[in-house]
Amino acid sequence: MVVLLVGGAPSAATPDVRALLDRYVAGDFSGVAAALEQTKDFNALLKQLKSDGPKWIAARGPAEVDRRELAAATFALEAGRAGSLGDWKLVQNFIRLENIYWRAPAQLVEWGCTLLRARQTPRPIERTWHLASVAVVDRVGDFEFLIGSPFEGRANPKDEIKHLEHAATRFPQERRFALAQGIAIEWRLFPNRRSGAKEAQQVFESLVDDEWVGAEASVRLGYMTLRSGSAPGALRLFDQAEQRTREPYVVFLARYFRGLALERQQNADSAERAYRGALAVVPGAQSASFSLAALLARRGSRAEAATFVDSALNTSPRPVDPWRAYGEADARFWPQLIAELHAEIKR
Amino acid sequence: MTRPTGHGGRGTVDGARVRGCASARVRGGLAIGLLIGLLGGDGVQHLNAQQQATPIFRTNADLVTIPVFVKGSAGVVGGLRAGDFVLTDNGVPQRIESLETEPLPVDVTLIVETSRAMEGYQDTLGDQIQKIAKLVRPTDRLEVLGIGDYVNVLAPLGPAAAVRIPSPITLDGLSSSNDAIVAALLRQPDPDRRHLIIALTDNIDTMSAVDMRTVRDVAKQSSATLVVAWVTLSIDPDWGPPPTDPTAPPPWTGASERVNRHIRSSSQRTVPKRQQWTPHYTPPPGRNIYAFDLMVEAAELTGGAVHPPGVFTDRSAATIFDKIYAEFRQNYLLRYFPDGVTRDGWHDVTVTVPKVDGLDLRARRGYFVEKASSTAAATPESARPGRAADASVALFATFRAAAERDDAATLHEAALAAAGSGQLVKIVEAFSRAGNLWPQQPQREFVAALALADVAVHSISPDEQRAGIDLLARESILVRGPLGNDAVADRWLDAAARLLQAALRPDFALAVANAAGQHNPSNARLALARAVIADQHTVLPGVMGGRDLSPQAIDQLLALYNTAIAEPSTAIEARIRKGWLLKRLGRAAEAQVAFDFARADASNDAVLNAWLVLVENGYATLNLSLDSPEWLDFWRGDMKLTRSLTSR
Repeated sequence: MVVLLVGGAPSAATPDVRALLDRYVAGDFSGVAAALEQTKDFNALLKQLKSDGPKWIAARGPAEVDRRELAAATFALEAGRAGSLGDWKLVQNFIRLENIYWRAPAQLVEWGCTLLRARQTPRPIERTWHLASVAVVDRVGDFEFLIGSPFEGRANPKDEIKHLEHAATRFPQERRFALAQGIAIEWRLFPNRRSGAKEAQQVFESLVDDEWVGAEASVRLGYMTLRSGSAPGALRLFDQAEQRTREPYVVFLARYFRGLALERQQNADSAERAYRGALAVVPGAQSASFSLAALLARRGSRAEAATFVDSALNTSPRPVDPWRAYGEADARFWPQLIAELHAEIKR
Repeated sequence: MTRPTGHGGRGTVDGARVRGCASARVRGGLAIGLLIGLLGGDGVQHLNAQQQATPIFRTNADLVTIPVFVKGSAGVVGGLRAGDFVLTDNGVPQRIESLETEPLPVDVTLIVETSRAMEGYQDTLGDQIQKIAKLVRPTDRLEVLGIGDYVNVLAPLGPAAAVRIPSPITLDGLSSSNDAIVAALLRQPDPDRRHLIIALTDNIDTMSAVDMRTVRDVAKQSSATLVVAWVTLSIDPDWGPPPTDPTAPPPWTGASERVNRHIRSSSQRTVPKRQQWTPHYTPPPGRNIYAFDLMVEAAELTGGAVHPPGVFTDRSAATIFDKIYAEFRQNYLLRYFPDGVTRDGWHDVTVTVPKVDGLDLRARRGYFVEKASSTAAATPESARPGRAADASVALFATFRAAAERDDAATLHEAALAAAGSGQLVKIVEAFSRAGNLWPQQPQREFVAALALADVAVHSISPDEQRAGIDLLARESILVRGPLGNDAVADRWLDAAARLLQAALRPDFALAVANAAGQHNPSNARLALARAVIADQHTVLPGVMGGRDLSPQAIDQLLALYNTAIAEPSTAIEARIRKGWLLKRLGRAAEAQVAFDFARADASNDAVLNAWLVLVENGYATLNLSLDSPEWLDFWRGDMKLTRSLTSR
């Protein structure tokens, strides 16, 4: 009887990490991403990555270390993203506090971060990686991964990750990390305000004049202001935003929120213009379409209202509505950032 | 309020007792139990089989049609004649022209929850919708909208037999139920059909752009009939125990709560399959039907109703639909020409049957006649050019049209035309004031700005030069991407840097170039531009911003050249310019070193080599006048720049 010593091909549930890394560094990004999407056991993947990753990085000698290190960290990021909508963390009550245990997808992101942080001096591409990691976590919607639990007691505080501290330490001049901190605090203020509003406000206020992220900071601060009941103050901030950016996401939000604020002020004419302006940025966006249609209907223009509803329901492909994506924040940058990382790995 | 008074009184549609009726329905529902499975064979109970109404309202050529649903204690009441009804329009009794009982074709909009909370029902959801499609008459049409983060068209309006729902249905985020209902209410009605909207939702909205007040307001304008059948999923044991008071309304778990809480046990929870951002959440915990007054009012304004969980004995979605749909078709259609009332605006309508006691009537509570209204312009206020009542308005329009042709030559000609008219400053101001003219194509704005600036900075007018430089300063902020400069921004800044050099006004341009360079340290062309503009101080007449530089300023200037020398793409030109500066400063030996390095690299570049020879040989030290082409070209920037970019 012959016992076959050759194992079968790794199943999709427990992929062979070294093989995936080889494919990844060779440029088969979409193939590896597809394999990660099929992965069921991210614990096994993490375990393999921790044990085999360093050896794999060093396997081709010093000349290849930079590239393979970036590939491994980016692979971990993609794996974390693929598993992020499954089992991200476990929360257990402990007396009156909570223990939070990070599951494999979250730990994969942190593994990549640790790998890159081991270098004393960051390479420029590491900035891109950290921006991409924020994009992943914003998509998950886990502010605790980014900033810990400054407002709640934690039974196991030593296990906090505080990912933004890592990123900001590596790139102290990067204002997007500062903005991400504000967004993380703001995130937890939905659906109802609670502690943290003051801190989020402070972060945004410190950034509104920044030439890089000031526009988005203005919009978010403006929306906070609007939620707190001050339409005039919010309008000033929305108006500032478009002086600093042409990014459609931010411009749409500035105009859409402006419409909401004006409606609150019973200024229907200006609100209507604001909603139309928002739809000029993202035609068919449902939030502005429905708000505008409702406004028109209330004013007696039902036929025109119906055209906006039809457009919102039938625009194909359906545009991403920046309002619907407001909470996901930097997740919108993922396609651009992962493409930059891929390009650097292929270089 | 539109609720019928129920038994014991004369039939009326004034709805004054809505709270009482709603409370009664909730109590009835409690007996059904708290676990309401909407889509797997379970369903929702119909309370007392007396809550349904099926009105239609239309105004065609001022003929108003009001559908009326009439029930007595024994069920649907037939055989009534026009003379049995009393109808008032804004308080004025009307003569009923006709009464019909013939069912008209119906357009049915079915709204179903497709948020991720439906994960446990994903497979059966499609089956239920297909069953519903089979219940729709061939003469009627069906559309299906899904409620998730977005409102999705699962099946467009058409014959029900053609409805094909993919199985399993893709589930999507939280709940935009208000948006979905508003969308359905605002669909343009087919005048030959009635429109019935059946929403199977818990109405706990977390994502919509519009609130329930808006739903109510829109319902008032709509000709559709809205019926909401509340659904709920398995009750969350940690949410709260069932009420001890059996007469109290039951709490229930909404779709959004299931998504976000994911409670596995009292001591452990896994967070989350996806921790969904939840922009709002109403009503608060402990809500009951009274917290949904606005939704109840919205439905009743249309002649419909809101059914809380437990009002149907059979709990499947198809059965709920069947009951609502069947009752909707059993009504009287009262038609009249409004008389003695103002045509435009809202009309309150009441319908009664005074001769018969104890009837339960449902009818639409009114209608709205639209009057022509002006619409606002598509451009937001802040993006409107000023109304300068002069030629610049037309010129700006011409320039804008040229920009929209996306043709460089046309755009340049339009900018030149603006300059030739003497209106250039006004055009630049109008352009700046107009703001974000092409929000979907911001690159067009950046190109147009360059075209205007190109003309302006080459002007002999200080005002026009200043306007051009200010325009570049403004756009240099806007051109950057949210994550840094992309290829478009880099190319734009290259061009802007050259224009700033070409302005020959270091007093205006240096601050702009420095600011742009500070935020774009990797842009070599910008670094060289900053050096050249600073260097212009040393040679230009005072009126153009020239002045003697301090020793520190000289050191800073040399440092800027060194920065540009560090970048291969600008190194040769930077060495030539640095050598020329050193030569003028009397530092001949250092200048020669710079020239020698430049020569080694410039030998294969005819243009740069020619300039090197020219400068090294001291040609430029001759007393050249300011309008000497060579002198101007040298100071206007990139030695390889084409004439088209730097001159008019």
